[in-house]
Amino acid sequence: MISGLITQDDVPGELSLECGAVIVGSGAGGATVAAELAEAGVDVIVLEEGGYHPTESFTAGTGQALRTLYRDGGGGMAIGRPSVLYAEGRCVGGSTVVNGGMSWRTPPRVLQRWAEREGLRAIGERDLDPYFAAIESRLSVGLQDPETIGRDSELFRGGAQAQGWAVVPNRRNQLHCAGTSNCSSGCPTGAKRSMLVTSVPRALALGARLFADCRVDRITRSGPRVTGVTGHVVRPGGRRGPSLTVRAPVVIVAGGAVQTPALLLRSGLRPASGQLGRNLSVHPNAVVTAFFDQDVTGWQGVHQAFQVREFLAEGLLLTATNLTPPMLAGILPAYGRELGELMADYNRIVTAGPLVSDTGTGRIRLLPGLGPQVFYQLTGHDAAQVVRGVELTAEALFTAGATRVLLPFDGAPVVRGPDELRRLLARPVPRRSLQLFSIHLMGTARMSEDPRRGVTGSFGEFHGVPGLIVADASLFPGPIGINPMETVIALAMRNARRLIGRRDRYGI
Amino acid sequence: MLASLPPAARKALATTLVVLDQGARLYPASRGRRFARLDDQVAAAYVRALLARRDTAAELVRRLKSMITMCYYELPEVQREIGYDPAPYIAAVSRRRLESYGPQIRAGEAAVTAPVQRGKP
Repeated sequence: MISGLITQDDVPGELSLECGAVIVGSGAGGATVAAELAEAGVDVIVLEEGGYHPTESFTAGTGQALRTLYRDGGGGMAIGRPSVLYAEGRCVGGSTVVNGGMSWRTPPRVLQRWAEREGLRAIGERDLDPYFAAIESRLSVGLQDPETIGRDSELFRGGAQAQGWAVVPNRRNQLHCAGTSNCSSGCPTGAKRSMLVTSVPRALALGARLFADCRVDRITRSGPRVTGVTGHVVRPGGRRGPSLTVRAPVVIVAGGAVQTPALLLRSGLRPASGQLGRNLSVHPNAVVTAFFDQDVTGWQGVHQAFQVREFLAEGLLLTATNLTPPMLAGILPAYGRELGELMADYNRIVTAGPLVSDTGTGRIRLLPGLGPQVFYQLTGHDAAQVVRGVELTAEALFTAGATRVLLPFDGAPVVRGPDELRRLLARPVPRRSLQLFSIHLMGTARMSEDPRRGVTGSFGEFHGVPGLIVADASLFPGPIGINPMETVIALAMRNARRLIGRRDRYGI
Repeated sequence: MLASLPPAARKALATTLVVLDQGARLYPASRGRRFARLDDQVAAAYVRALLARRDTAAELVRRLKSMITMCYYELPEVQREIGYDPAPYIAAVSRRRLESYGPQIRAGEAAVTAPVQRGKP
């Protein structure tokens, strides 16, 4: 057993604890804050709703991963037309355990926009550079070793480069990644430097305590100040276990852009801006499935090796990412014999697609009996961006040698060449026919120095509630257009340092 | 996989199964039979007709289809049939990683719990 790590097996009855800071969530934000505070000598308790699953337990089994590492089996659905499937991690280490490990600094133009629009302080490129450098060193962020790059990535890069587009190799938090292509089911070698193998063990080694299988129901307050949290232990099968109380003068909420606003709303917190749970961005993704005449075996090689950055200024990022057979079968627009015929060519398939920096926003609402529900309506502009991104992706794949592609539009026919693609897309694609998914949810407790516009201040502090701090992608004032993990970690580290500098205010 | 879904989603899927099965009676070509009693051709046409719709029922059927096909393609024998057998591959590249970069990996892992230099982020 790891010192400081407590799971539901270790908790026979009610728990009542005290500490300096209680952190809800152990993902990119929560684990980072935990390590920083523990390093500074703060008595830290981390509460994680998901279980503890060590590296040795990770296999290529998609079903096992969905059951153990994801919230609701990875089957979240943002309600709208079209609906958007989304996935959130729920385990020690949070979504960093199941993400692709892409580690990019926040684009300077995004930071500038946030600073200008929301009056944010100390958030310029120069302000954050030292944090990015520290993170990249701690998480071994760098380029892939060449032998780990798979044929699917090479084909997509070749197609994009033949079009004359800018392609960059991915920067990932990996320590000599083996290229198992198992990122979304947990890295079986520990090479992906997720929070599970970096900031969580670091925090524990520095004296923090982490309770896995513990769900926080409410944040408690006395007057305006926070006093801790209440919750319960989660038994196998999701059964409710003993109750849990943690008293602390500082509460840090890092449950992600759905669970964080949900917890804050459940706790009766209503910021004056009325913005809690609003401003949700999702970076809609779509998948183009391309068939080649040659073997590709996309599952042999790193999860995602390159990004097409040619259209980044327009809000489009294109990538190739291999999907396991269950994931691919789940999204292909076919069934029965037809699906069987498509899947028979699994080793000749490349899956790729666009990520759209969305302009529309959604909302998290608490519905009685259903908990937090996500509502998101794709705008006409963003729908057009998805279609354009799909077209560009398909063009690159045809250039790379694809003989046919399936587009992520309900009812779309198989497309057998660029001319057919152009003819098909010359007609409008109904917005509601788009098949979309998201793994980047953000913005639901946005930072703004103006309490009439935002939920939190420049350093994640909840407006009007001393001692309450948000530390996840909820803070983002808008979409960032690229993978958000490094930004989440940088803001968490920066905000933790700020808190440490003011620890006397809270007596921690 | 079903067990990992929230209770409301489980109920919705169970309801969808019943509606899918019994709803087939209303499909003209079924001649009043439930889905489980249809021959392959009629069953496929019925599902195709359902999926072509743009309403909530179609959305639920799509999700049900996703769930069923995901479970099917999770079966090891089905995966082997389509040429997907990742365990030996993962073992081989994991070995290669340790053989090629063992010292760097051990140093990187040890750095996780090493103290940071004060005064630097």
